Amino acid sequence: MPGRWEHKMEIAVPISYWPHRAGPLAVEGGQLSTKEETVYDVGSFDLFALEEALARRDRWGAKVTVVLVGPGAHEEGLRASLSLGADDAVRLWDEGLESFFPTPSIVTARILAAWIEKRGFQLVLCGDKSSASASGLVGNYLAHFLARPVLSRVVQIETLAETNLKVTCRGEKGSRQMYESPLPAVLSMGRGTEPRYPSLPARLAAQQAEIPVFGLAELQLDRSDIQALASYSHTLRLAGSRPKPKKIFTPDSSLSAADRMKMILAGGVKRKKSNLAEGSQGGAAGVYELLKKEGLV
Amino acid sequence: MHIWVVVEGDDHGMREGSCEILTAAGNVQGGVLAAAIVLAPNTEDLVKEVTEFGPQSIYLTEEWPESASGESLAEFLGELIEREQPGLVLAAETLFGRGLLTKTALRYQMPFFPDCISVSLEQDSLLFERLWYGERLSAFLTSAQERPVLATWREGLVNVKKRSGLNSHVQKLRPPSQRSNLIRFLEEIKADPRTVDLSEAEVIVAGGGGMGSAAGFQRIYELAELIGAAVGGSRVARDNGWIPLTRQIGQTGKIVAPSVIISCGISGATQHAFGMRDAKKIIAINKDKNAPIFKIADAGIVGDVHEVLPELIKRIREGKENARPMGA
Ligand SMILES: Cc1cc2nc3c(=O)[nH]c(=O)nc-3n(C[C@H](O)[C@H](O)[C@H](O)COP(=O)(O)OP(=O)(O)OC[C@H]3O[C@@H](n4cnc5c(N)ncnc54)[C@H](O)[C@@H]3O)c2cc1C
Repeated sequence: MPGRWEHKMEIAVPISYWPHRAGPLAVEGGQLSTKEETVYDVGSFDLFALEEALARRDRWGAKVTVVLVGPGAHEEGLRASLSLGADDAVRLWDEGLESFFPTPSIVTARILAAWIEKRGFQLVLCGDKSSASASGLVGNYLAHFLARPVLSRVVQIETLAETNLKVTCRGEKGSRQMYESPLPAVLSMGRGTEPRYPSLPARLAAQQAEIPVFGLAELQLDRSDIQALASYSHTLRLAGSRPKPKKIFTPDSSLSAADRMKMILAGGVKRKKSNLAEGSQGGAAGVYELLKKEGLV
Repeated sequence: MHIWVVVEGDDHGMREGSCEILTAAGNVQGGVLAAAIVLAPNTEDLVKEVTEFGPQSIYLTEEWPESASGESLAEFLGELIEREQPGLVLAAETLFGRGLLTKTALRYQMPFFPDCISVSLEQDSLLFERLWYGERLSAFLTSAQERPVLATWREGLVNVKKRSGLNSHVQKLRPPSQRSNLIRFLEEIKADPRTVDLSEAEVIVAGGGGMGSAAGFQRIYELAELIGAAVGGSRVARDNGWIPLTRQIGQTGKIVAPSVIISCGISGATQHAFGMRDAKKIIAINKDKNAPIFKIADAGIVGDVHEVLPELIKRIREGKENARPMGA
């Protein structure tokens, strides 16, 4: 029967736990300053993924496991996810990884892949962007290492059959693109439903929960392999906030001085020679013809 | 260092983002704009546009396969990069650019830095600036791999400048081969103009102070409904409560980039014009023939909106009636 799984489906939700953008964020010596108390949180896209997984569970009877690649300080993110309703939580970390922190997307994905491969989850639901680097790459790298199909910017997931999903993704100009994807698959959520709110008992239970940690040896990963992957992308330094970048109009130097002045005054909007038509009757007819040319009427 | 740019086309020619990246690539200190890769059907006009940015070479495909999948494009690009070994390959951060470079990076094991806000060369090594922590901080990244590096550059940051007097060597290559994909594309559903975010709208009807009243502004909604456009307006329209803030166009509102915008009773003040500078076709109706809006409009009607709009709406309705099959 489509919509309900014969065998209990297992869903993995990789999450990240990073400083919240609304909190204090200071840079010192090219790194995040540890002087001020930074507020951490689970990434908002990760929460969309978790909520989607929990909704699947309620509908399909699946089991949802959250997984995080990160040091002990990040365990709080897993507890937060448990309190929201995740069935299980696992942390993947190793002393040998400390020097790669913050781990580049490709390394995070490689470690996740090793564990997911072992456990054989049919569905991996992740967030399109982490709250830290927002690269949108973890899902893609993960799918690559797992040799599974991947879709990003996912906004809706429906079941077509026991082994197939109908997935809606965000396109450009507000459009939606529909795909059929086989399972197992990796889906990266690009928006979604706001997460549910944790109850107090759930929060207390989450504080008590045992969260296993698996290291490189258990995952059968070599530190040298991780080292090689880490060489793909290395964070040299962080720099303090600067105004949101915007296109700044510097007038074209090939223009005359008068034209440059005009361009500045027009806010960079190019002056065009417009054909003016006068009168309401003729005007309406003119606009009608233009719209016709554009295929709008 | 040799820099390549992957050029993307849209319905109107070269995508603005590609123009920006071509400009930016030409400006990287210590780099040369060695090639532009045009991966699109009907490349003739695109090539002409690309030439204006002066890349040394332009690569394009002899013909375009019916349904070139993302995988086959990535293979095509990847093989080309492997053969020529440029230092850096850039594309605009768009659905197409990101998708293509992600696939290429994975398949050919090349470092990839998406959504950069600047790229520079410092002592022979590439430095990529990205925004981290909810865009609060800048992160500078680099790669230690001795491989061509791929990156996408965020749109809307670079002031486009063409370079004249340069010749490009155009090279046609065999089209990408077909590859099957595990994922099957089903369909695309266009956005509903009534609910789409204004910045993503394809067609906009905008009204300003000249609409006179809330009742007068109804003509804007009526016209928008008829031609499947989204409704926008000036700050005066918002101040009067005819549109919500999310529908205001301009410096303090939304930046829009529709293919057509019909601007009615809007003066075209700088702060408003700024928000619609990327509109492809601007049609303006204003009773003052000296209104600044006419300086940026492609077509202008000097007339009273209360006369032009009802007349236009009537015409469109009639056109629809006539188009209806007999007996329907
Ligand atoms: C810091 C700052 C930020 C701003 N940000 C924005 C912004 O984001 N967006 C924005 O829109 N504005 C913004 N403004 C305001 C902007 O300067 C203008 O005041 C505003 O855009 C004017 O709106 P309008 O053209 O609709 O109205 P008006 O200035 O009232 O102009 C009405 C126009 O309609 C014409 N008209 C009148 N009656 C008719 C008729 N019956 N038929 C045809 N035409 C008619 C008139 O000739 C006139 O050109 C900003 C201003 C400042 C100082």
